[in-house]
Amino acid sequence: MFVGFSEKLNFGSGGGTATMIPSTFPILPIGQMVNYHPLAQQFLATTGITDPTIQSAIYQLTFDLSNSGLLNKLAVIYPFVGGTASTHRINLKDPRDTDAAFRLNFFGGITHSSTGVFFNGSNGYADTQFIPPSTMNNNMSFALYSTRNVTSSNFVIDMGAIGSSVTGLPGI
Amino acid sequence: MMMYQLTSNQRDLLVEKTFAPYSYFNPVYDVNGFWFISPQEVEQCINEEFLWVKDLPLNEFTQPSPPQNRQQKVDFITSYMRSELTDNEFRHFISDVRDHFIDYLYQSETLYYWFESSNSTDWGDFTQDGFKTNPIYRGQMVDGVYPRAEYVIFFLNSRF
Repeated sequence: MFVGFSEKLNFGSGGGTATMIPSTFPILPIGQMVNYHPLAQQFLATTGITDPTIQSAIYQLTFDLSNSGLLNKLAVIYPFVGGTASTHRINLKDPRDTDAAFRLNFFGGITHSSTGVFFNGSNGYADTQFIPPSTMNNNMSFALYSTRNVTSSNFVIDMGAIGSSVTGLPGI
Repeated sequence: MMMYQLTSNQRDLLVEKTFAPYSYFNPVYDVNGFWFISPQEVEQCINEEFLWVKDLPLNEFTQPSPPQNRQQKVDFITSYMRSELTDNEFRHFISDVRDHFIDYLYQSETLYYWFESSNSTDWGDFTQDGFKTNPIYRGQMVDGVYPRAEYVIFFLNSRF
């Protein structure tokens, strides 16, 4: 069936050659056509998420992160999808359901819902079990998507750590 | 803020125990030293072993204010930990401070030197109750007895 096709021309329009040779095959590379990153598949299998909207979002997220070269730079990713503690705890970068994969353990007052995780600001937090490797030195970053403004009183922060003096670690 | 109040014994029963899958109780103490858990923990508790938390009294919870300066921080830590001391773990405490919390404690470099010279009574004495500073150094450090490492770290993680 594939006799006579060059490797490049099997998939895509021209396969990067100077002259765009029409192809009967889909014009997108096969990896882009499918978009099913193995991490996304494993994450969805571990969490048991079957909602097609969430599945599509996770596939798109991993594809975009991978395509932009960010995926390998991120140590842990917690998508907070699925609406329960059992789905929110899984790390997309290592979707095994083990402590060694930096799954979250939740402590105190936390509300899990389809919109994510709400920490009560009094005693709720999640332990990532992730200790940044020494090779990171002081060069690291973290980010989150928040739908609320935290108050500045009582040293409440969205993520990270904070101290009551100038020597305290930063929080955001 | 209203939270559910615990006795010390009840608090001990809940530590490191789950109220729902993958969700652990996290008792915290208030400004008066009483232990509390949150409404979320009580409402979401489905662990049959701990359903008694649904009968706990709901009382006003006032979070302790974070210390505003180094001396307040030292005083707060010292007062909180004074009853929690053992002997040998003080060395681990110093090590932990040196490795992870060196910015948090007042004159932690001095603590480090105590660790390095822990057999010397010049700096202070390891006792059954903990580590007591040598009186001649008490002007430079917190007077009195220092706590076990695990409680210090718990405290620092909770409060700073």
